Amino acid sequence: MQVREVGSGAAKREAHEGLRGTARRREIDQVLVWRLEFGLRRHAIMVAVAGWPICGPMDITEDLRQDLLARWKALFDRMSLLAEAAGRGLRTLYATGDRFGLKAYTPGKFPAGGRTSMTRSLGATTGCTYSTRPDVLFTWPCAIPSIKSTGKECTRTAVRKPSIPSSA
Amino acid sequence: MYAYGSAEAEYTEFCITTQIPSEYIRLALSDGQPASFQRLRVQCRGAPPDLRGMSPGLQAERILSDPYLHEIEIEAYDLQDGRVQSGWAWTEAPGIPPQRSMLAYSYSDDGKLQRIVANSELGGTRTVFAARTKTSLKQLSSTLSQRIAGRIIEALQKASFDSPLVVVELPYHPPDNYFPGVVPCTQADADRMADLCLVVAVDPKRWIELVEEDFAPDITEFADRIDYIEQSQTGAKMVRQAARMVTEFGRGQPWAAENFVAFAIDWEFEGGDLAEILKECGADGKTLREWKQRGWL
Repeated sequence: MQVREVGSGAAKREAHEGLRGTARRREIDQVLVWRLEFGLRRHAIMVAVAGWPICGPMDITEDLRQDLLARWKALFDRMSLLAEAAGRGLRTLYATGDRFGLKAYTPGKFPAGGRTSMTRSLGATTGCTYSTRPDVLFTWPCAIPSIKSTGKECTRTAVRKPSIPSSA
Repeated sequence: MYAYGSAEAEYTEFCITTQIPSEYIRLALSDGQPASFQRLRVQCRGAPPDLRGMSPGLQAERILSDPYLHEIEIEAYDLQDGRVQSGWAWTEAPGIPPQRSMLAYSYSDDGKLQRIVANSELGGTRTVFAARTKTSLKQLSSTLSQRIAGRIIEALQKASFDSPLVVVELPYHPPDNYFPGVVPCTQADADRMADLCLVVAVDPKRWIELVEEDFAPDITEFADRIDYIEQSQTGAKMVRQAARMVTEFGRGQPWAAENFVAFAIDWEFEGGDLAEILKECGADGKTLREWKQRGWL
């Protein structure tokens, strides 16, 4: 069968859909793509013939990879803003948490010992670990600067993940 | 940091000490359905060695140019009838060549996702997701131990060795992988060995490789479940139970030495517990004393 279709991304591509259906039913063994324009690329990749999608000249995973790298590199510039926002969020969380009901972060006001839902959720999101020692509030691999600077009791004594050096 | 939009959700994690974004995840949506997944993770949680003093640009360049400093996962999904039918994945991870895979999704009659299988372009198939069954974790662990032990015994019986086996190491790597390798050590190897770290002492060409996919979907479900409850010890018990079965079967076999022991270990975290592990895997007091005298313990 031969399929030729030109259309915008919004238009319904009947010939293209027919080709995909034929391929899924394994009624054809191979598809020869002689011209693949940009707009058709993603759909063409998803046409499965004999278990393997047709890969266009510009692979969608490569596009996504390049996009990922660009986004990640851009994060280096946003670091200071993100750090500040993270610190603010954590302070709010401590101050307004149902468990403690504190109006502001106050060192030494946490219940001594025991894990709480609050600390568990913080541990899960930040990688820090709650200490059961009354003289140690938190331990963390990548310190949370706002809390570190305000809590004299905070000492780095342990890390949650062994791959992270405790001196970090 | 989490960020949500109508067409995407992002997670960003950064290391305050090094100022490096240690992990970035993005899920893109199309009409409320997942369209693609992107993830980049920096090793050592954003604090890899030897990057101090570099500019951010150089740090990024160095991280991306070294395959041991980063991991990348990309997935693009093909949606049909409101659910993912297939996908296309790209993976870069330390120790394995970058590879592209096709993801095949299968659903139960009531529409529940049952299994995702990745077919790699380099060859090989791997079940990356298996739906949770009603089997208890204990039962699942026991079944897997028996099946893995059976396959190891079969492989050892088929292989030919120049002298009887003294030890077989089953290295595994929790929490990522509870499926062990098989490293056989003969009497001849043992005579020139300084310690019991067989993954270093024995040429990888002589390792016996089992096919993990033969144990799917059980092994995938098992790993997912213990990862969910964060009990890597359950995984360790499963592998060591398999090792103990191999030890017990091997004693008295023509291919095994008198004090034959098979043991499962993750040297990175369990190396200090070697004696206890050997005991758990069926080594008796006499064997342990003998090996201590040889300097193996």
